[in-house]
Amino acid sequence: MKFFQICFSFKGRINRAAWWLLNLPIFVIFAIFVIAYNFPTKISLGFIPLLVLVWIHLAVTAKRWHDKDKSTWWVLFHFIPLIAVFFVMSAKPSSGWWTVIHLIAIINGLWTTIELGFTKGTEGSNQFGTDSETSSEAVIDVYISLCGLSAIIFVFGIFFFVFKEGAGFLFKGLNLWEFLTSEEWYPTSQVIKENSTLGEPEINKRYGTFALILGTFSVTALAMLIAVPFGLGAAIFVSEFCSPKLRETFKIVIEFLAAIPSVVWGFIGLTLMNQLIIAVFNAPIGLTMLNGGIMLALMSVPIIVSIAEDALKAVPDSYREAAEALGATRWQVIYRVLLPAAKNGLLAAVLLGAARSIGETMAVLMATGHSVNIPSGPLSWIRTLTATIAAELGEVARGDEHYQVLFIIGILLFSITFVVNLIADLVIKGIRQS
Amino acid sequence: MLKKSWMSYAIISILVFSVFGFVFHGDSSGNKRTNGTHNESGQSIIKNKGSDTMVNLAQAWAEAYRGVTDTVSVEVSGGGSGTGVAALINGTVDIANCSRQVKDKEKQQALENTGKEPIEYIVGYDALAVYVHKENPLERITIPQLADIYGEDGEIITWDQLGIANSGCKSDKIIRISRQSNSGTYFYFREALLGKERDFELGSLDLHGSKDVVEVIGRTPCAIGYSGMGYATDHVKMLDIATASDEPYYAPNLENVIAKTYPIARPLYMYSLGEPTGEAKAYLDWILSAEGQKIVEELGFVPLESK
Repeated sequence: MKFFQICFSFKGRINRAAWWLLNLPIFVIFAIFVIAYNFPTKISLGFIPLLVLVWIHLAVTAKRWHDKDKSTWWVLFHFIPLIAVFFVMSAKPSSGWWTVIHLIAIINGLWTTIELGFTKGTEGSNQFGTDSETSSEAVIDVYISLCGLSAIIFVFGIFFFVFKEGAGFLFKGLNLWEFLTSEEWYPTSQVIKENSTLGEPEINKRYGTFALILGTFSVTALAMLIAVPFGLGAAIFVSEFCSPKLRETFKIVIEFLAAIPSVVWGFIGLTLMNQLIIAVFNAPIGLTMLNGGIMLALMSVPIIVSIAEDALKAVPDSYREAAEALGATRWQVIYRVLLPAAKNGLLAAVLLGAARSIGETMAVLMATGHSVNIPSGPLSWIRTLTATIAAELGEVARGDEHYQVLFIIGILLFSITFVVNLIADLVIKGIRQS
Repeated sequence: MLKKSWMSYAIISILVFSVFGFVFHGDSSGNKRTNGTHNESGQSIIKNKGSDTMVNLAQAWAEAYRGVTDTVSVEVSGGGSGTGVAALINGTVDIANCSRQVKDKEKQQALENTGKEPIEYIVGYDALAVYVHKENPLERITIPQLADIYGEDGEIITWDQLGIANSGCKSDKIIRISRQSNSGTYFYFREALLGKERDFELGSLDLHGSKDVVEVIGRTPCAIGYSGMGYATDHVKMLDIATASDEPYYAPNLENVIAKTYPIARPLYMYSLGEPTGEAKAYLDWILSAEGQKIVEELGFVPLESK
């Protein structure tokens, strides 16, 4: 039987598994509606989708009765608790009716649930079909594909939400050129423009994110400069040089590094690393791009190591053996055989590490100084796109221009990661073809 | 077989009862919703949210109020003045804390959204202190000097220009510590220094919280910054402030703020949605009483009037 037939048709038979698979989500959705909207007493247009669920519930139940060789009319038993509930609603809680109706509803509910959900249908064929047609496989099939689809739905849902919040100002009012190339970030200015027309005083708010974009890219580049050699080196060591016992210890330690929350890294940057940079570089203040870069490197190294190590492990041992049989040294095996063979995986490791750095918020907010500034070196303080959103969204009035600009920054970040992923895909494809 | 069916009966009855439980529980709580919220132990809850400057104070009040009555529990959270006002507009808090005045536009939004207008209470004063590192020889500063340090195209960029030799700071450049550009503290400080005619110069370190400002200044000999008077630590120094170079300088302390001679002190506000009633009114009255105001003073803020 097809999925839609199982859901909507009143003909044929289904088994217990299919009945539960379809009814449990319906029960859950109803329970949520009852809690959230006080369902039985307030009814509005929004409940029309719920009617569809009621239809599915009745159709499924009818087919389950068929499975037990009972006519479709047995569905009417379902309306007893429903009628009872309405009676209960209208009766005073203290009246005797309340108890009686309550009891009838519970007994009826119990009985139908046992009959439909826990007892078998008639064996072989009955007047509604054969029991070979009662499979629940179609339902499971659809559920599994829904799980797969949900990832796509969530991505589009998030993009839609971010876009919707920012769209109003993006298409009307925002000077996109200035947004991308001006370094003047004055979202809360109260200064009235000198050359504004007499009619309406124009407030000189400026939304230039050039310094923020540079901040994001420079700190990410610095982090990758530190993290890639360390990460790939560690991966080669763990995968090629370690004894098995040492390798296990290493992996646990590296995974532990990945488990440290970013706000803790930020705190380390704000206190410990701050002091360290002041002492080592004689800098006036340690909250700099270097500080943020080191924190981001420490955060992305575990990701790079574990993915790169998997990629190296995936290279078949026969490659290593063949190379060694030809008299290659260990270094030659790694440099000439393993690295080219694991190229795709290593690139993926580096890009995922970079993506982690671009998206990181809390640590850079605390460690980089959070200052609108064109970066002039590792010891200048900077501000990133993500940190700007985090610092300012909490205090901004909803729907305000400033609020919308923060969401446009979100769209910008979305586009940056999209381009990075696209390039990665193309590069990997290119490598595969050659 | 017998055992199995017994089990299934048990499972079903639990299931069915829980479904009915949902139905009736949902209904009863829905009816109560209009009469304020209660927690598990039957205490009624006052939800209080807003300004980071005031969060310590609000928490201290909430704790002390537990000793006053045991039928009310006050839930406090921070997030910033804007967050508090947004929650007030959405009608999700009873009292919003605010280190700036609620704007007319926000009042209008609250009125449209909930049908009630925010009612304002001044619950104390906060003196913004200007902090420097404790080894900085600077003792006093004027408002025009501060404006020249923080303002756009300001003239003062080194400690030397303030007439001091800040030996702890090798580059002699002043590092400006500020707050994120939409915090209540930032708004107040900018207006006190520059009015509405000028913006701050970009390139300051915009930290995320009153405490962080003092923390960073305590580690940075080159830094200057502003934060609430109550956040002072042993590692920083508060400067005396004058409105102009020929005016007297005033230290940020209780007497000067109460006498209104200290130039950068601002009122702290609490807003209730509509005229407060019942528990919320009792709480606000208690905050304004001598007992509540004593806590204001204990936390380094300035109470409403001296006794």
